[in-house]
This record gives sequence, C-alpha cells and structure tokens, in this order.
Amino acid sequence: MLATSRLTNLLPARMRSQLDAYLEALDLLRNIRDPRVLAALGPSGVRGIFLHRGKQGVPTQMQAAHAAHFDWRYPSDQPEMAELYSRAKEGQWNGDSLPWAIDVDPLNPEVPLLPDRFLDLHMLEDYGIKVSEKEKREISYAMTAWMLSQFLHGEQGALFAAAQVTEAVQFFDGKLYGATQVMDEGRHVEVFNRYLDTKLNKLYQINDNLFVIIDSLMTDGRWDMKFLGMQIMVEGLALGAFGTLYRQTREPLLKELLKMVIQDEARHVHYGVCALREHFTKHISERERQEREDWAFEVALLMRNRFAAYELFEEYFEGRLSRANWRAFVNRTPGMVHFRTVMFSRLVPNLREIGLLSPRVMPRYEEAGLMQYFGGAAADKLTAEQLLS
Amino acid sequence: MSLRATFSPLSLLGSRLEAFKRDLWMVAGDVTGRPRASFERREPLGRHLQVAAPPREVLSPRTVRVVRVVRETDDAVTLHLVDAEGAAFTFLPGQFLTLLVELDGETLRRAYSICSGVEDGGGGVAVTVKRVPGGRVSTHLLTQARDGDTLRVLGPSGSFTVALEPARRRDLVLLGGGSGITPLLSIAKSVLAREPFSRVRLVFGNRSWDEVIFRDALAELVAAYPGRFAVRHVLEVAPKGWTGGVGRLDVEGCGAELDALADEAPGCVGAQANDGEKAVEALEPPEVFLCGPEGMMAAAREALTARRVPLSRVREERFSSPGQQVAARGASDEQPLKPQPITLQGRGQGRVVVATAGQTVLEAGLRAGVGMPFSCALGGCGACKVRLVEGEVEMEEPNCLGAEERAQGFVLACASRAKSAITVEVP
Ligand SMILES: Cc1cc2nc3c(=O)[nH]c(=O)nc-3n(C[C@H](O)[C@H](O)[C@H](O)COP(=O)(O)OP(=O)(O)OC[C@H]3O[C@@H](n4cnc5c(N)ncnc54)[C@H](O)[C@@H]3O)c2cc1C
Ligand code: FES
Ligand SMILES: [Fe+2]
Ligand SMILES: [Fe+2]
Repeated sequence: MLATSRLTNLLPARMRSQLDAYLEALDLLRNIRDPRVLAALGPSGVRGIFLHRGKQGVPTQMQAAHAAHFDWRYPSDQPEMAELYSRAKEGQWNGDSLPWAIDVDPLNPEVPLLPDRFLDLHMLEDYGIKVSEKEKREISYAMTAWMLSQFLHGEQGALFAAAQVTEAVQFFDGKLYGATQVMDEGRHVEVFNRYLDTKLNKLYQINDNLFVIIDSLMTDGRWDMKFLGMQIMVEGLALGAFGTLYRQTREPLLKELLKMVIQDEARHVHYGVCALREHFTKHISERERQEREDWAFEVALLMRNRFAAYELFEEYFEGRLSRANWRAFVNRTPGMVHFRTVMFSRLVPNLREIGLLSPRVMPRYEEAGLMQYFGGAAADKLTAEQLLS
Repeated sequence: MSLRATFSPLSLLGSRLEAFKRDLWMVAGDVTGRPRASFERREPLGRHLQVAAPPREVLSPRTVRVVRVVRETDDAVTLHLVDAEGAAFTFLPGQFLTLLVELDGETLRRAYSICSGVEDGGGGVAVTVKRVPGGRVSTHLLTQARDGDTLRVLGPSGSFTVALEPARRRDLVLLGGGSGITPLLSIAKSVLAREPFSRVRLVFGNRSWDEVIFRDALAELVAAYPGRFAVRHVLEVAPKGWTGGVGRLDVEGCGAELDALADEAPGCVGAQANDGEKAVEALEPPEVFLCGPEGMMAAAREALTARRVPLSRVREERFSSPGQQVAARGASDEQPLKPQPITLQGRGQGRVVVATAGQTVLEAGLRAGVGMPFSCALGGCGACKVRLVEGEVEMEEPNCLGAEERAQGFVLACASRAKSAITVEVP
C-alpha cells in the first residue's frame, strides 16, 4: 500500500482519484467470496464502474431475462398481500396536488435544504481546507441535488423492477398489489424529477455503484433477486434516507413530497419482506439461500459506498483533497453518520426477517460495522407513522 | 445514423460499434484523467409545465396586476402582468390567457396570447394587444390600460404549443402576420433558450415597417442566437433602401418564402457535446407554426399543401373566430335560468350532474370531476364541442361553431347553459 501511495502522489489529481476509484472497486470485487455472486455482480460491476454506462449521456439498454408467470385460475393465495393491495388503492395520491407553487431558493440560509451539520465542512480544516460561508451554502445545495438525483435514478430502477416483478411473481395477490406499486413508483419518478427540474434546476448523473446494483438486478432472470435488490436493498435504504431528509430539511415542499413518498415506500418494503420471507424460507434450497445471503451483503457494501458522494468531491474538491481523504471525511461527518445509521437500522432487520442474515454471515457484517443494527424492527412491524415520527 | 432508422442487421452492428466506441471513450477518459461533468443544469420541461394547471382551476379566474405598459407601435401595447397574490405563472410557449374585461357593466372575455418566453423570468407574463378597428376590448386596453390596474384572467390554455425537450433538433418555421406574432415570439424565445440543438426561422408579414410589433426584440434574438434564429420581414409597403421581402403573404407570397427557406443550407446545429465530441446531426423535418389574419393563414395552408408538407407538421392558431364575423347577437328570450340536471354521455359515462343557475355545461361537468375537453372557455376555439342529444340550451353568440356543426347538433359546452334537463354526448 505504501508503494502505491508514493506512486500515486506523482500523478495529476484527476488520475490520482481515478486510481483510488479503481483500487476501491478491485478491493470490493476481490472480497467477494462466493463465485456465483461474483458471476452475478462482476459484469454489472464492469459496466458500471469501469465503462460508466450510466454516465455516457445516452439511454442504457438492459436485457431482461425473466419469465412472465401467468395464472389463469386467479387464486386468492396471499391474504396479507390482498390487504396491502386494498390499502394501496386507498393510499393513491396525485403528484400535482403537492404545493408546487412554493418558491424554493436553494441558497436561502433561512430555509435550508439541509442543516449545516449534515456535511460538516469545518471538519475539512483537518486536511487544510477552508470553506467560505458562500461555498458552504453552495455545497449544501449541491449535496441535496445530488441525493435527490440518486433517489430519482433509484426510483426509475424501482419503476421498472416493480413492473418486472409484477410479471414474474407467482402469488396472484402479489400481482394485483404489484400493479399499484408500479403506479407508485411512476409517481415517485414524477415528483422527484419535477422537484429537481423546476426547483433545484440540477440533475446529477447516476452514481456508479447504484448503476451496478440496478444493472445487476435488471439483468438477473430470477424474480426474487430483483425483488431482493429493489425492494429490500435499494428502496429499504432509500426509505431510511427519505426519513432522515424528511426530518432534517426545512424546505416545506420537499418535506411534503418526502412525506407522501415515504407512505408509499413503507408499503413497498412491507410487501418485499412478506413475499421474500415466504419464498426464502419455503421455496428455495439452502445453497440458493446462501447465495442470496452473500449477494445481499455485497450489495449492502456497495450501498454504503454509494453514499460517499464522489460526484460532489469531483465537483468541488478534486485537486485540493485526495479521494481517500474525502471518503474518510464523509464517513466521519455527523449528518452522514446519522444517515448511515438510519439507513442500515432499517435494512439489517429486514434482512434478518427474510432469513438472509444467518450466523454464517454475521461475522462479515460485524467486520463491516453493520451488526449493531441487528436488533431493530422489520418493515412489516413498522407503520408509516413510525417512519415519519 | 438517425434514431428512426429501421431495424436491420447492419444498423445493429452499427449501434454495437457506437456503444463500443462510447465505452472506450469513457475508459480512455479515466486513464488519461480527462475531467468530467457529473451533473447538468435542468429547466422545467413540457411535462412539468403541462401539469401546472389542473383543469378545475382553469375555470376560476385569478386576479393579475398590470406592472408595466409598453407601447410597441401606434396600434399595439404590451401589458406585463403578475399574479396579484405573487404565485408564478406556468405556461407552455404559445398558450394564451383569457382576459375578463369589465366594460360598461358587462364582462367581456377575449383571448390574448402570451408573448413572453418561459425563460423570461420574474414569474409574470406579457400579452400584446393590437387594436382592431371598432374593437371594444382591444381599443379599451390600448387607450386605458395603466400600471397598477387589476384584471381577472383565465388560463393559460391552448394547444398551439411545443413541448420543450433539450435533446430535440427541431427545424421550426414560424409564419406570422400582424398581431399573430405574439404566440410565435413566445415559442421562438422558449425553444431557442431551452433546446440548444433546434433552429427557428420566422417569416413575418406586415403592411408597413411602422406596424411591425417586436422589431427590437426580434433583432436582439437574432443577435443572441446567431445561426439558430433568423427573421425575414415581408412588407406590403417598403421604406426606401429596404432589403427584406416585399409584397403580400398571399398564396404566391407564402410559396416564394417557403421555397426560399427550403433552398437554404440543410440545417444542422452543432454544439460541443458533453464528451467533447462534435455533435453535428441533421435536424428533424421542418415543423410549421402559422398565426395571422385569416387570409394569410388560408394562403399559407394552400402553399404548404402544394409543396406536399404533411398537415401533421403544420400547426395553426386562429385569432378571429368565424363567429366574430356574425355581428348580430342571437336573439335570446332572456328567461332567468334555473338549475338543471345534465346527463353526460360518451366520455362522461352517463353521469348526471346538476348545473346551478347560470353555470355553463362545461363548468358543471368540470366541477363534478368529469374530464371534459376545453381550451379557451370563451367560445373561440371549438375544443369543448359536445353533441346535444336531448333538451334545450342557450348558447352565447357569436362563437366559433360552423354552420355544418350546428346542423349536426353540436353546441359549445363553455358557452351553453341548460334551459331544460339536457343530455349531451362528450366526444
Ligand atoms: C386564441 C386567441 C389568441 C389571441 N391572441 C391575441 C393576441 O395575442 N393579440 C391580439 O391583439 N389579439 C389576440 N386575439 C384576438 C382577441 O381575442 C380579440 O378578438 C381582439 O382583440 C378583438 O377584440 P375586441 O373586443 O377589440 O373586438 P370586438 O369588439 O369583439 O370586435 C370588433 C369588430 O372586429 C372584428 N374582429 C374581432 N376580432 C378580430 C380579429 N382578431 N381579426 C379581425 N377582425 C376581428 C369583429 O368581428 C367586429 O366586427 C386572440 C384571439 C384568440 C381566439
Ligand atoms: S373551450 Fe374553446 S370554444 Fe369552448
Ligand atoms: Fe419509490
Ligand atoms: Fe418503492
């Protein structure tokens, strides 16, 4: 490691960060123990991290390979899902009815999008970097736009994944419920996109790690992998992120928007837990279960890294700060610490609940610092009110 | 290769190659340390502007304040308007407002196209009114409008618009006459600002140079968008030393202008793409937007048809409704109206709504949540046409319904009030 850092210090800033990015990616791939997981994530990793397919400025084609599961007998097979379906129908809302007339000034310190301590830029002084008040406000604005952009990209993934899962799932009550989720996700895309285009006027490219996850689950033919990836991992984490942002932002339109989205998402994660618990505990072999368990762990790591906001680093600090130091800073800043806590304290109990956190993988979660979240309540035990409180 | 190329093994190979080149470009960028932009600036697009006016609110007027009156020519003024409560206006370029003007104890409704671009900022909008000889509202506004006046307006509405989309490579041809320039200016400004790859060419006919509205604004726009915006003025009476077009925009006049446009270099608007590659691609086939006096519009249509321009690529906005030619008001026996049940068939799915006394069929339907089509809400566009199956209505005259439509039993929902229980079919 010493030798490489001496070598990298001789390179121009942009190349130095790129090297750090490559090393980080290789490290991630190298640590994947299950070859089947490597086979499932590897090609997506190449497309996302090395080829930056999500950043090429053109639409991305992803081949889907799942089978549409028809059932001409229309069984009433899952009462819990049937109940979710009727709740979902009642819970529909119109994106137009949010208070869009509210004027948003992203740089107004009186109505901050994010609290100051979220990205505590004073901490950068440890690395010899001083950030002016004006720059602080700009970065806070950029950070909000960056997070919401990632949410938006995640919602696009959720929209397509929900549609695919609705085709592929074998529970008929699940299919009906799935139709409402497709509508929900469409609405989420609508409102996040509208907020970014009309209020923040900025859209960040998709983060490579998020791209890898979406690519991997869109191209995987197994519906439960799509489900696990989207409902539990991406949206489960997003739910935690939405909640933090909802509590911390002072901007009234964003608050209202997140409140409505969170109520939908609570249903989605509940459905995910309910469908997968049944499936993982009754319908697959131990070997298959283990593969999913490992996959979930790797994706959890990708998700953790996704929040390092490297795009922001490139915009503001590349050349002034090394990528590794930025990572260290983001890992320590109080808002992000809190953010990760909330995100993973939602995710880890859900994984436990669907049977993907057996003693076999616990040491790895321990090592990654994620075991502390093991004891929380899973989504099917949490109400939307609890998520909003 | 265009996006619309039909599928063939060759194009598949081509697109694979393109994809491979893009991948390589990204990797090379990483290895050589090429800086990259991780975000883009965004503006409200068509989708966001479209949803801005939920139909039910369109029928209840909002109050606006005149903040500035600008005299454009002897016969035209521009009124800059802001919402009295400070709410921003959202509109699509090319849409119009319906002004409710109180004159001699009567509320007169007239449509005026928004001439500001969606980019102009400030949250307000501008409309330009040209005096029509003997016209009540236009004369009133031209002579009486002052800063600080308040007015009630409906809208924005209208479908003479473009859905803005930065990736488009439009080749817009705008053909305008007289006050018909108003929606065209809004379209030109908005498209130029929001669609960096689109080009706009305007042919603008007027009687004389003194009557040309927006002379300066157009010249500024030409200077601001060299190579992407061009104006050709055509005057019936030209001043000395005039180098622009001369004559009327009749069938020959329009034809000559269209031919000249067609002879210009095939359009391509190049711009630095994100990745530094020069992106020069052909423009889409031309789209034509027409707005002007009835005679000019008819002539332009004929000239376009003769040149085999498909009508699907031609859009029109009519300022004068056929009914305006009918000077006489329809004699109504002025009985006070009573609440009446209205049965809405067709799109109304048989729902029965009750119109309160004096409510129009359109108002009653919309209040009850039926998605009835409409646009101007003042009998001027025909969008709200419904067929009267049973019962009797009182319809405001004049309006834009043609004799043939009347014979087929059509009425305008926005201009009709039920005199008895009625049944209408909503198309
Ligand atoms: C969709 C739409 C958009 C419009 N946008 C604009 C705009 O941006 N700027 C603008 O100045 N006007 C615009 N108009 C026309 C405007 O609505 C009025 O019709 C015009 O101002 C005349 O109203 P008035 O009360 O002065 O005339 P009235 O008192 O209603 O009519 C007086 C006499 O003039 C005739 N007349 C009325 N209007 C016209 C006309 N347009 N052309 C020829 N003869 C006419 C009448 O038949 C009548 O004989 C638009 C109309 C429509 C339907
Ligand atoms: S809505 Fe335009 S005529 Fe009725
Ligand atoms: Fe969602
Ligand atoms: Fe969701």
